[in-house]
Amino acid sequence: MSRPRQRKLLGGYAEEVAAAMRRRRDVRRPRVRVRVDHGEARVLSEGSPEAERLLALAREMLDEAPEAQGA
Amino acid sequence: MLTRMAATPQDLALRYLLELSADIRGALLIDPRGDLIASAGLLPPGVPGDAGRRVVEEVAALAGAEGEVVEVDVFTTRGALFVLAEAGHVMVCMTNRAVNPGLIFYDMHAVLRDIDRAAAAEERREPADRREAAGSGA
Repeated sequence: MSRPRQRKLLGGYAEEVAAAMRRRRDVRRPRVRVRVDHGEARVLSEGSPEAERLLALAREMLDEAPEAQGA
Repeated sequence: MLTRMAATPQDLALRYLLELSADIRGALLIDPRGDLIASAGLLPPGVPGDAGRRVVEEVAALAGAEGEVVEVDVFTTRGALFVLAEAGHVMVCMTNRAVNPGLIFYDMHAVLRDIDRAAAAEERREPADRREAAGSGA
């Protein structure tokens, strides 16, 4: 196999792995979603005060250790 | 001496909810003031504490003036918290992360509707009981 073709193939694998890791990180990212009166669900923006308060409350009720929060 | 307290209909309803969904670790039922009505399953030490009142405050703020049914799901790194406010009750469930929120809310709605129906039936029965007692005393 020629060297440019080999490099292209390896680059393709690296992109796939990076995309898979991005998807996995996005899925595992903490989020708060709200739906009022059976309307459309909206995700509270990351870092908003209400999202932070609800996340803190959830961690407390789920008994998550503080060191696990950023994991 | 230890005595066994009778389970309330709300306690039984929460236990049924845990039977319905094996993903739900623990559940709470809270009144609109934030006071605990019933709980079931595995709850961390210290829960609910003042968490019930805080949940009610947060849900009220998100609902706004006219919101009657509010669903909130909070996914953290290790678990998820589901809150449903409907018919004058707030129900909270703790689960692991790998759950379908739609299914959890479906079960929560079903059990909360049962609790509401049972409360309405109880209210209808109380005046009838009083009338009956008054009639037998006469």
